[in-house]
Amino acid sequence: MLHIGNAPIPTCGGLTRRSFLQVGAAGLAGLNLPDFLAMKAAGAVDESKAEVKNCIMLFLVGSPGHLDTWDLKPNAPADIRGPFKPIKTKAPGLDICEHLPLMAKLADKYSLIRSLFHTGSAVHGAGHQWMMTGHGFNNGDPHPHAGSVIARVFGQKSALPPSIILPGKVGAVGDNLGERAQTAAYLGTAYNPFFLGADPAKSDFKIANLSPQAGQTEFRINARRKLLAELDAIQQQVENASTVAHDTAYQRAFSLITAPETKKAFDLSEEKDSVRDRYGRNTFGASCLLSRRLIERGVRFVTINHFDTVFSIACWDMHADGGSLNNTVQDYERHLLPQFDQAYSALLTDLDERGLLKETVVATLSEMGRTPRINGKGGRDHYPPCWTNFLAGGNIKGGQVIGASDKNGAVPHEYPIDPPRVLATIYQGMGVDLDQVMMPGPGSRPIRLIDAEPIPELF
Amino acid sequence: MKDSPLACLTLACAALLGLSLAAAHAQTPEPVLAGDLRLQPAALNLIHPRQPHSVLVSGVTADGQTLDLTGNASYSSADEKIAAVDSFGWVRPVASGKTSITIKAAGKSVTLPVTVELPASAPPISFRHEVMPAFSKGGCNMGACHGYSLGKNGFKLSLRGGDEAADYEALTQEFQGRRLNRHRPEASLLLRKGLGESAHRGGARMEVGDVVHDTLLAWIRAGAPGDLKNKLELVSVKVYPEKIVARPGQQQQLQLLAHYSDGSVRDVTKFAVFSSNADALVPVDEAGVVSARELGETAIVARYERLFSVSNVVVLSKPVEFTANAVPTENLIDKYVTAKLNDLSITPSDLCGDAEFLRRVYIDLIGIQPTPAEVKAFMADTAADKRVKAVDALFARPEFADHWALKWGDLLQNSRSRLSEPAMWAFREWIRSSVASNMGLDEFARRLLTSKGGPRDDPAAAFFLVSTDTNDTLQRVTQVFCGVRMLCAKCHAHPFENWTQADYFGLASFFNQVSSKPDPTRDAKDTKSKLVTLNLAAGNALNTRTNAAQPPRFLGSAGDIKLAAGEDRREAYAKWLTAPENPFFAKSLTNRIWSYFFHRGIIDPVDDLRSTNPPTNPVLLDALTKDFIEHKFDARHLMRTIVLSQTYQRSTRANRTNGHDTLNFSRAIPRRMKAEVLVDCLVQATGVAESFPGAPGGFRAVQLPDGNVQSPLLSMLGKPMRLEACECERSDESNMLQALEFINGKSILDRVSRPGGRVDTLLKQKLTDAQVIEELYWWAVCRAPSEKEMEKALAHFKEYEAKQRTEAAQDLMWTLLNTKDFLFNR
Amino acid sequence: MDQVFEGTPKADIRLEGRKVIRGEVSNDWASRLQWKISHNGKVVGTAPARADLDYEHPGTEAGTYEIVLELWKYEGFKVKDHGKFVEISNKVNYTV
Repeated sequence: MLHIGNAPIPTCGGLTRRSFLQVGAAGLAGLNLPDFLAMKAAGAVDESKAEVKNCIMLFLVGSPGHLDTWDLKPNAPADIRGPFKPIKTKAPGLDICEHLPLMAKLADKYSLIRSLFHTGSAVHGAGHQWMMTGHGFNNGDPHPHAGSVIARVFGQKSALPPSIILPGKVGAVGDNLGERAQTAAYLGTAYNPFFLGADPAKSDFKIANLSPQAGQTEFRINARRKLLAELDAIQQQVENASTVAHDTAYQRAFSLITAPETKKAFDLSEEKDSVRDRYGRNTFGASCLLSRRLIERGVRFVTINHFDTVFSIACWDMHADGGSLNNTVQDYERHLLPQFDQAYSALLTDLDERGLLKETVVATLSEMGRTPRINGKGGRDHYPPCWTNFLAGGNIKGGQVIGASDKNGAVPHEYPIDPPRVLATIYQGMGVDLDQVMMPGPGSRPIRLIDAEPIPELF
Repeated sequence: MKDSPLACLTLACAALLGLSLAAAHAQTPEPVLAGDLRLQPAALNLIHPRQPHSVLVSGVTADGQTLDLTGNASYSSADEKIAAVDSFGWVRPVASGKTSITIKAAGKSVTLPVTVELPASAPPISFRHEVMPAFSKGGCNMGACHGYSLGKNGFKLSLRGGDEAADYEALTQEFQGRRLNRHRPEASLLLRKGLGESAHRGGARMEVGDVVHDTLLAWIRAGAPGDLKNKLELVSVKVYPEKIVARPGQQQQLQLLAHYSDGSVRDVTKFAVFSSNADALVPVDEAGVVSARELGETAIVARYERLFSVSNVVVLSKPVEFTANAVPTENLIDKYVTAKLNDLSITPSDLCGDAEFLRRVYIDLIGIQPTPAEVKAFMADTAADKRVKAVDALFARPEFADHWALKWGDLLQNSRSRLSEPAMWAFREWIRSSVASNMGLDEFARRLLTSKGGPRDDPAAAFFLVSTDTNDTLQRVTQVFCGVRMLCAKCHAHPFENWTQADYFGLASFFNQVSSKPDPTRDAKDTKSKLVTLNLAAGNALNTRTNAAQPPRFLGSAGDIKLAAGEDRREAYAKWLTAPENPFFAKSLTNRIWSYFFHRGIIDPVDDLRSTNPPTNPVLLDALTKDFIEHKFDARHLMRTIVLSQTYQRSTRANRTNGHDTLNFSRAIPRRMKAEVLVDCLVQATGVAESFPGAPGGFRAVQLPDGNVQSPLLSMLGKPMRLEACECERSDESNMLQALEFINGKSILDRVSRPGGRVDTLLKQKLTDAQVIEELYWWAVCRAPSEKEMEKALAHFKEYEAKQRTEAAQDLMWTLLNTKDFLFNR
Repeated sequence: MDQVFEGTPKADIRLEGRKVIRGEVSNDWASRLQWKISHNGKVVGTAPARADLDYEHPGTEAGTYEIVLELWKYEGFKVKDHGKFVEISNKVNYTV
């Protein structure tokens, strides 16, 4: 009866008229959530049918040194090349660090981008902004996290929120810029990511606002819900966009709190021990496993922040400063690389075996790279002029190396790629037609999801 | 966000009510007309060999319904050697002379006189007036294609043909001129790509034989001439019919005529780009055929080159038994609303009850719901004019000033993220005292726009300190005080209004004398303490398209204005803005203030006034605007007129005739309370305060001075950060994260169980269950429970064991605070 | 939040000639896994054990070789080296 799909979208570029239903009617700028929900309630559209692939964003907070991981330079001088050696992988010409042997076996599944750079300052938060949103805005007006963009444009597919961040928000990284990259910004707080706020590696983790508060028995929760339905029914009036949106929100919240499927989604004990071991019994591995369960249950975008800080924690921020940032190549070898290797390869394999990898972009990102020259203490420091990240899954072709750094890994030697292009590639990898899908930007002005061209070689 | 074309919703609501509209779609047999066939235009004068003209044919039935017969009529020319006509009614000139076209439809016949006056030889094909419109029609220069700022596949056209010189060069010079093949025009890359014969990501944009292909081919065959110096200018476009009243299932062909600087008129229907403001309701196709699909109303926008014309469409059901309601005269709002509703065969809902009215008007005027004592006193009052008295008393309350200072604080973006703390506080106090003293909004705007110095001598100067640059200032000024969004026109002609870059930079020239400097008395670390300074010697703003200085130009005026050198150009702007005859200021403010008392503006969104976004009730808006100007831009007078109207005081309950209507104010539509008001009401109902870091203790949410307050609860509920001058930054939408917090978070659970809070205090008073229930109802939803509600609530208490009475009461309060009755202003 | 590691990792290993073969690690923390080789009671080396399930030590000197699986245990940022290797399997030995 209703062809929202033909609704014109007013944009700076004029009116575009295409079938949007296939990519999510909620994406229609000018068609707001209440309108959309009202139409949904009228049976006119079904948000859950919006066809777009999923994304799991693995954010390696702290920034791995590219020369120690995915862009080794065995022929560079010793104070540049570091102690690790490259190994061959399943993809010819795509060599990676010897401490990533499991990842090496899966090199046909992902493609490296070795010529990434950003022009912001060399602090973590600037990198979070660039890589999570595609924009560097420092303390200026923020841009939305990619998960919020997808949530805004494509809506909620199941009882679970469309964008979830595991296990928590990146907080203290020496600046407050990164926190500003993890919101829905001008898209509205409704599209903020849902933060798990708990460690899934713990056998009995609780999620705020999903688990009953102290003193709240099941009896009371049920009694309240029943009474609310009864009292609202007495006052039943003609519905309108706002009340329908409200009812939908409450229905979703109740089902999230009470539905057994919700509990199940977060319950890793449902997984076989061997599967949990495959991912690794640690925060990151459990988060990766949880991300697969969430994607299976209708979450569109899962972000895993490998760490929520860089201070006083063994993380990728390898300054070797002897203080609160005392991470070294030994930590890489013993702890970080094996942990990542295992979780990443388990995730790709598991998704693939379940037929989900072609439906899910897996983007492994970091704020920046690390200095080519090893510092006086054996560490490497912040370095945004050149680094390597990688993409897999969805429509993205694997087994390739995009761009290259120079002989010392200091600058992109060929095909420099900036963060907006990575975001554009992720969106296109999810099946989004960037020329056709718009979202309401600042002041509700319709804008493209990202103003950049995807990397064509990856498709 | 308020920013929604609610027109779409009419359908959704109709569907919710179970109305089936599908039955109306069947085609009717040959209609019976009451009068003669009507023609648009009534006669044709054709002067250009390549410019045929269409004619619209219509007739009126006995019950007053207008039918479009253009597609059903038959056409024949008296002399095909002078003018030929096709089966769609397009008349093509052949040779100079006079003839006529006979048109037959619905058993009637009419004659269209045609005069043909062709020049001796065919004029050369015009790049500007024939080729560029073909690109627009083909969609080649739209934003998703070659009009994208980065172009596509190395080929960039100016967005919707904004820059003819650049486009001419792109076509004829770039790519070694290989886009055009002058030897074999048909083989030109431009045509092969456009036809989809050669790989083209944009697909086929034209077909052999259509106007786009014909025009481009003829142009290349003629040697691809340019006519960049052609003096002929497009002056205006006009779409016919201007107003369509149709029933579901009817169609209407549109006609778009272009008027040129030499007085000539051209039928550009085939080159026009049509769009509907509510495609689900009333779609329009590429050829300009409007289909009335569902009940409701909207506008169809026809664009040719960069100009627009709008046709308003109303889709009405078949006449039902309807007696027109008497049109009230005492309140001008009721007069115009009722008149429109009569046109639509809608009877408005009844007036709401006293308790409902009092809560509604408290929330809207002073931002807090009434206490039980206030409601009870009001209900006990037997005076006939008690609603008037109650409203007048509210204007005098300090909360009134707080509430509207908050609103203006949003619009003027007062925030310590951009201002020093003293400047932010001083600005807030200035706004608040302007509201408290009921400063006329013309004076308010003048003071803001001509302010200078710092917070100590002129707190209003913070207005300029908030801006990041002149662009920001001009965009804020136009959006807040004219309701016009100019951002698009910075980089290209505005896509929905006739604004160009000359208009944009003409506005910038009023404000580019303004800059700021660090306050010399400030603390070295305080980088935000600044003073507004004026450089009266500053030249005009640079138009980035022409690279020439653009003299000041008022919005909507045809030409530049001349100001004496060294003059503060803001004075001229402020004078123009606040003059009674200004077409934007009073109208946009009237509409904006209206929207704070209803679920939408008469024009909506309220800060997106443009010819392509027409008001739902223009006479209402005009009359209210006139009244606002006559009362010296007195906001309180306008608010008083609104809240004392029957239109404002309607019940939320629909009747038999108005369930589908959401555009014409025939009933009240519940609105979720805005963040600050909701939190303050929550605090008042539960007796448990909320603290706001960054504000003095005891401040209510409505009193918060700026956008930079760290309250997760308020931001979750949609409090804006004041990053935009747009109403859309505030969100009053419900969403799941809020619902989760209200259901299972601490905001409500802690408040209902807090010792010393409302529930605890009531339970200590040795009241019966029924008394506790009644008190909780008064505090939460400002009324006594109905019998049914009391019954349910008592049953709820019974489910708990006696020792769990506290829990039962807490859970009832939790429930009341989660009902729509509480969360919405009804 | 710092990393959480629950459970005690464990693996069984066995010999086939001089080749040592490991089973999957249960409660696997997924940190560095390595073979630790001792010769006549003295540690003579380690070898990575993640990529493959088997390993053959190249040492040919006469004497007894003892092999055990080790896993890195992250103990916390304040701890020296942030942790240590712990043995997680049975020991096997052979004599040359």
